[in-house]
Amino acid sequence: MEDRKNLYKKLKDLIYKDKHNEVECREYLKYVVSLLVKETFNEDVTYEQECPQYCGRSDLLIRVKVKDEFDDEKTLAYIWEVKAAQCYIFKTETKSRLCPSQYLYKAENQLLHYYNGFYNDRNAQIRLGILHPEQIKFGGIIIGRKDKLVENKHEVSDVKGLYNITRPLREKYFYNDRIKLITWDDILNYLKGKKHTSEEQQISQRIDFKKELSDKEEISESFDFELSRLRNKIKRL
Amino acid sequence: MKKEHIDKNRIKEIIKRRLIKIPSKVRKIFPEILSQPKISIKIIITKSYVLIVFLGPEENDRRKKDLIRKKLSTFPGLIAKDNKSKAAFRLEGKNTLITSCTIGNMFSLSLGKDSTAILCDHKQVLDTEEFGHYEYNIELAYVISFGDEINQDSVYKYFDELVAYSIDQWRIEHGR
Repeated sequence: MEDRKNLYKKLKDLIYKDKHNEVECREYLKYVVSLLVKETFNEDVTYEQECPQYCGRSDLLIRVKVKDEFDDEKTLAYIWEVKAAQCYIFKTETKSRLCPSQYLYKAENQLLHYYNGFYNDRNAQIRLGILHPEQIKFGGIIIGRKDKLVENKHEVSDVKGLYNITRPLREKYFYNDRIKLITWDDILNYLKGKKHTSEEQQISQRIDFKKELSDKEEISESFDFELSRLRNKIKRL
Repeated sequence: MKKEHIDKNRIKEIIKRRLIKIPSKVRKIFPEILSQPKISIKIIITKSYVLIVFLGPEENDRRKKDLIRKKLSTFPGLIAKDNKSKAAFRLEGKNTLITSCTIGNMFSLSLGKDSTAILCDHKQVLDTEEFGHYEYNIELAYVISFGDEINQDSVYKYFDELVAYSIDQWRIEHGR
């Protein structure tokens, strides 16, 4: 597999070009499948672009094999809509409110139609190895980059502040954990990361930093719970 | 001051989906703690961060008896309260992976806004005037700091992405 640093550099060059180039950028999504799928999957991942549907072609369909509630393997298919990094995500509607850009509206509408298409198309499901329509999943929308978050037609001074309100609102009430909204910078961040391995940093002298160490007053909430890895198997027996 | 609140069931659901209910082939590349039959998970929420720590039963029992933990902090020296204290790693940005590091007599982490990090096999050592020598290991932990982007509504999404990132890194380490 190609080194992640190289992938990061190449993708960054692409997404910061002026020309729309989502088809080229789309190739890099195969390196971030974990970000695009909600479950932990086996290695055999199928990645299909321009998947035909009765109402058009879905940009990206990712098929993975995961464990079901009975510890058996099942296939899931995630549907994604990919727009260019050069597309705005939101635009100002008034000086105090944003609305989705034409690109985001289009992507949402396409995603709904393609999802519904696969959900109701038994032939497509058979081809994909899907036994039940519930195994068709919403992925989400990839669009925009950090300098294309909002088309600021109303010259709002704190447009980033409005973005930080609008995006979570849409995610919380409309997308509701089912549909993900990801920017191309999120993909870059995922490829980039930082690593510190086997480092040792130590100050030898004994110091008294009791005040700094005490964090009891800082804590708003704290809870413990236990997870049993064997619970499902025991239930089955 | 506004108290941060998170839904532990949503955190639990992400842990189950990403780290527990997984194909056995993939489990082999995970840190050993995730293969134990029972895993204790501790979640700490402050106004500036969420810390999610995975503890084995032995470590969990041992920690309950520690005086320093009762009096000062659940994980003393792990995260600095401010930017003034000396810390080994300053977190700025997403997806920092800290593996097999030992940090002594300073804080391990100082958090910038909207940062995320994973700690694997991490050792914290402290020599304090009052409590003497104290050290502990963290086999696996996730840290997410609040900021303009990450808040109590969006923290689940960033936790989910951070867990996905950690799994990708374990896959890369094992050449998969």
